[in-house]
Amino acid sequence: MDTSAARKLPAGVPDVLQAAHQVFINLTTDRILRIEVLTQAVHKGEDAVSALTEIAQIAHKIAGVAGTLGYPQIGDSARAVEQKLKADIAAGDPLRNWDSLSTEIEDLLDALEDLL
Amino acid sequence: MKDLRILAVDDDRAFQMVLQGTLAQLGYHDVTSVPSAAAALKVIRNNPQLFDGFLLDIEMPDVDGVELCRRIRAMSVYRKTPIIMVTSLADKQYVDSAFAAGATDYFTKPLDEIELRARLQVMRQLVDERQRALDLLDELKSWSDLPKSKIKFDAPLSVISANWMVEYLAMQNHLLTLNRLQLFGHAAIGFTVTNAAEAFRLTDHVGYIDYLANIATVVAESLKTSPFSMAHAGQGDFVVLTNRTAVSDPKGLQDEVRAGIASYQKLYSSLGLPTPMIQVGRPVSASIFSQRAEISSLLDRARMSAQIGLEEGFSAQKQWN
Repeated sequence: MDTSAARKLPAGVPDVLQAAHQVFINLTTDRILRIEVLTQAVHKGEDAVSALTEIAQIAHKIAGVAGTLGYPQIGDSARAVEQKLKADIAAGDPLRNWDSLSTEIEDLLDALEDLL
Repeated sequence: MKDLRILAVDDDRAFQMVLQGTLAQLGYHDVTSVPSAAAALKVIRNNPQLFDGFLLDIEMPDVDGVELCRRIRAMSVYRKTPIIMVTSLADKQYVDSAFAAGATDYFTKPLDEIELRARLQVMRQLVDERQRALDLLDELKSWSDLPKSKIKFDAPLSVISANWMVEYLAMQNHLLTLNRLQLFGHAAIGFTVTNAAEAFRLTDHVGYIDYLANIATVVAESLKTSPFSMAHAGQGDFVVLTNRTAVSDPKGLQDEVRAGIASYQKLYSSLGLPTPMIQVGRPVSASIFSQRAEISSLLDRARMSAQIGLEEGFSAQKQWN
């Protein structure tokens, strides 16, 4: 899918953030792909802590800007995924809520794909 | 007004651009952005011109923002430079580590323009306060008869270069960043110099700062607890922030401070200055249910408590607490 053309800014986002918005959109494809790879790794029983930590880091980056760039629901969704993953990892039980979290991650990916 | 020279460090390119764009909208155009702690340290070392402030993302790979803050603080030229941490709501647990490493303030992602504007206004005030102190130091070194720059009697001022002396504004900010449990563990104690106005009139501004610095040192020596921080709020009022249980006998503390001051009586007399008359207030703390307004007024209440004094203020103090 071609993301090179400038995507229109959501309503209420100042023009000065046009370039930042485009960078965010351009990064989204790679982030979707990376999260999918990491999710598959968890499903296969590979190193869960490493994979889930990286998913949390990607969600952290999305949460940090999505709201400002006009996508508050994506930001909230990413933040929820980040917080829950970090809590489970910190508790030493990274797969504690994996069933429900994998659904939340799917929903987040769907929302991100709608941006493209 | 001179533009603040800011170094922003964040490993997310999109956030860097959001931050830079928003800063530009707020009128801050002299911003350097780098993607990592290593790049930040390289820029700092290779740049002859000092930065006025730093914005550091907490969560970064390899060296995180807290460690970067510590390394910047270890450089003598940046010992007091405002450092604002940038954190997500999920990272607020790291804010305390950041303050322990020397951070001045923080704001959260996603960026809120109003919050960022407020934080940068505080940064500017801190920079201006430091510049006033540096200007006075320059004039002292030039052996002028009287300093050309003025300080105001009621303006906060860092009077001594010590790791426990902080800017009054930074102390106020720090209280607002604490969670309820942390706040509950703190107490503020006011120390007022009741004849400070007389000393201010009798000496030049450099002499007045030396006068206050000596008082601050005596107070610090009398405080047997650690850690504590101290700020001069203006008008000869000092506020100390320490653990809630640290000062159980404010009267004893007052007697000790007065005894310490009295040992300098001959010196003050030789300088034509009045021996400082010190009043200590009762420790003031916030309740675990404190609202923001009450937290904001904590330091003011500590000052008032000192101004009223221990003997007169006992019953009034109970109402405030």
